[in-house]
Amino acid sequence: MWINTPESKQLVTEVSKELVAEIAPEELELADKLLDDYYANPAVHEAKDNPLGFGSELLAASTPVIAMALQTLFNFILNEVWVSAQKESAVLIAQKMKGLFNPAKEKSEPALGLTREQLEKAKQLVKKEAMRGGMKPKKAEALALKIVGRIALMP
Amino acid sequence: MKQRRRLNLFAFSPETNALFSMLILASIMLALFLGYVFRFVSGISDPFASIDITARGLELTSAVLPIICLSGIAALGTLCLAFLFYIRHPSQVRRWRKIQRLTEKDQKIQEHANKLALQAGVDPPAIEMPLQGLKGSDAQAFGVGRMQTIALDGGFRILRKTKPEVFNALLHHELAHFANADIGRSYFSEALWKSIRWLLVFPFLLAIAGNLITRFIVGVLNRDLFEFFRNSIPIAFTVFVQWGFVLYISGVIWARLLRTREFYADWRAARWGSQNGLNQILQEETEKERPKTRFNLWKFHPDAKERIDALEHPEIFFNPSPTIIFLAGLLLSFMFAGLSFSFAAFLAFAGTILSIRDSSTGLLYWALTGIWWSGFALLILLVFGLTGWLINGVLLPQIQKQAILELMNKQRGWMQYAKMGITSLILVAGIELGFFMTPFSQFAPNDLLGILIEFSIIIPILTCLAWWYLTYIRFVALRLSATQIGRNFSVWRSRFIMTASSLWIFLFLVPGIILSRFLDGSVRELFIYLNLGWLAFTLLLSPLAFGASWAAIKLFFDSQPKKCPHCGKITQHSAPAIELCEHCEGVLGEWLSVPEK
Repeated sequence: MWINTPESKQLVTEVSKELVAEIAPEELELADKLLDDYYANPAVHEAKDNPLGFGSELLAASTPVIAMALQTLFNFILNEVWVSAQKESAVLIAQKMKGLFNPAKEKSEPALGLTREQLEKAKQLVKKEAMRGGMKPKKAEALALKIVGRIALMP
Repeated sequence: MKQRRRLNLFAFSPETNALFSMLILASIMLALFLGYVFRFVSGISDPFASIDITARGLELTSAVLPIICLSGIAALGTLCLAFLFYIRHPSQVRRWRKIQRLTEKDQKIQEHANKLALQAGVDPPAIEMPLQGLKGSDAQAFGVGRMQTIALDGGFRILRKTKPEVFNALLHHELAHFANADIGRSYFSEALWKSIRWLLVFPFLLAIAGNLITRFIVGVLNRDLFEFFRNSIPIAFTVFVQWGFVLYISGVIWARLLRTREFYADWRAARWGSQNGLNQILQEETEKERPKTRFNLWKFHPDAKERIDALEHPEIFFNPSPTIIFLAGLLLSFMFAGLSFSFAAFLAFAGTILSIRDSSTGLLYWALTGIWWSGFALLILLVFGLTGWLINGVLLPQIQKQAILELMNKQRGWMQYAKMGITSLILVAGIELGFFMTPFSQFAPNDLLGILIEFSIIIPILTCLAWWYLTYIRFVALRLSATQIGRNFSVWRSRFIMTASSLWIFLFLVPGIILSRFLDGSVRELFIYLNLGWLAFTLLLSPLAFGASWAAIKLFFDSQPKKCPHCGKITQHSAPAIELCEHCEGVLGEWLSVPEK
């Protein structure tokens, strides 16, 4: 699976940091630490119904949630949009993903974009995943919009 | 700039204390009722119904002994097991949260917590966290005695740097639990609830089910005994419903205790300057889309919205709570049922004591007479002491707070007294339902005529009686609170309110409730006369008691002009507790509102 390769992790780290800078700049300094912690234990923190706890939990850090949402998005693209690309090398896929996120900079092939429907589906997926990670709906929506806003549309 | 002040929730006894005591009482009642269930299971006919005070001998004692022993062992066992669970809670919290003492890399968190604790005037607690991880933002204060500890999730390592206001608010909230001294009560309540589940619920269900199955099998094997099985089904069902009801009430008290402690901790944390941080956390919670899963009475935590409201308007805690009043009524009747059990048990033993005494002479004769009378006096004291404690500890603060709130809102006049009719109706509804739902409903009417008398005569009279008590205590509390100035509520004023309330309860309220329970028994005529006598006594003497209290307040507490504690000048305000000094603009009733740090 490409998603488990170092290339994938590097791309997730890179894009996550760019998004953290916009969404949660206060975490930027700690982003590496937070991402390492996320890779070490990617499971979502489940708030336990502890009768003697505080009773409300807020999201301690957005960085792991962003990384988690990105990984889910990459999985979606690879499994549902670029099915044929699955057999390509990890480096090549990473390059294509990079191109998808920043087409002007990476000069990627225009054919690798997403249709409007796929983009909408990707947005919903990112939002859902961010909310599952503990992000409040408004922030999750903003994150989803920021991410899909970077993805190239199919010409 | 003037310092912000916050309505003092601790001006009156906190609700958590009352709830804790109510839970202990409810669990003891549950354990005592297990003895009754044993009676059904063992097929012993009601020994208490046939108790004859003049009975002398061992037969009666031996008939009730198993029930008394089982009830006593169940009550003691429940409390002991709860204590064991309570002692073990720190190790359980540590295991469940996978936490340990902070290592060198997290020492700054400990230092920060120490700083906050010292600023707040609390002993610095030990902080424990998972060794690794940066997730989660839950905190939990725990510990036995002076071993105060706060457990933090790994996410606090991040929060300290990214959201210091939130970090401080969460720590302040947990420190507030120590300052409010609710850790012991909360964990013991949890332990008690666990103990009830293990020691009372399972044996109860097993006993009922086992008994029914045995009777069924016996009935199938021997057709003549099948009727016996059929007759026991409605009894078993009634006992099941009644016992389940008492259990449910215990659960409701436990859950309410856990919810209430959070409001009090939020209040103190806000007083320590963490209102914004708390609002941030709670606001985020309100924005999350979460399905409501638990019935309101069974929630362990208040909603984020409720907590925000309580932070902004602490005066909502001065409104009387219908649930607490209803629960007080229920427990009052549970208590009478439990105490009548103790009374009957005493009489059963007393018969034996008296028979030994009658065959003795000299010193032994007098010693046994002394024992008999001491036991009798102790029981009477128990009845009045426990009832007084329940009403003074639960109802009285509710009325005091309501009176103060109405004073602050400038709501005066007879209408406020008339409104207490609703409160008294809720209380009496609780009492009546309690009598019907105590196992075997020994104090509830058991025929149609009895039910008619209950609804048409007894309930209206008891409601008027409760209203009269509430009116009296509201009057006394209002007179004494409105003129109280200074930093603390006078001990003498508190004592006066308590004494006045206790006297009224013992003279006019409790005798009425007790006497009204015997109107459909075999000695109905005697009790009709006793009830009428008591009613006449109340109607004649209670207005006198009212007048005497008014005179005593005037004489002992309102005879001197009130001086401002800041400038020393005399204030002319009629209710200085809620006013500012007209000379120096200082707060006169500092006990009622505290400065924010």
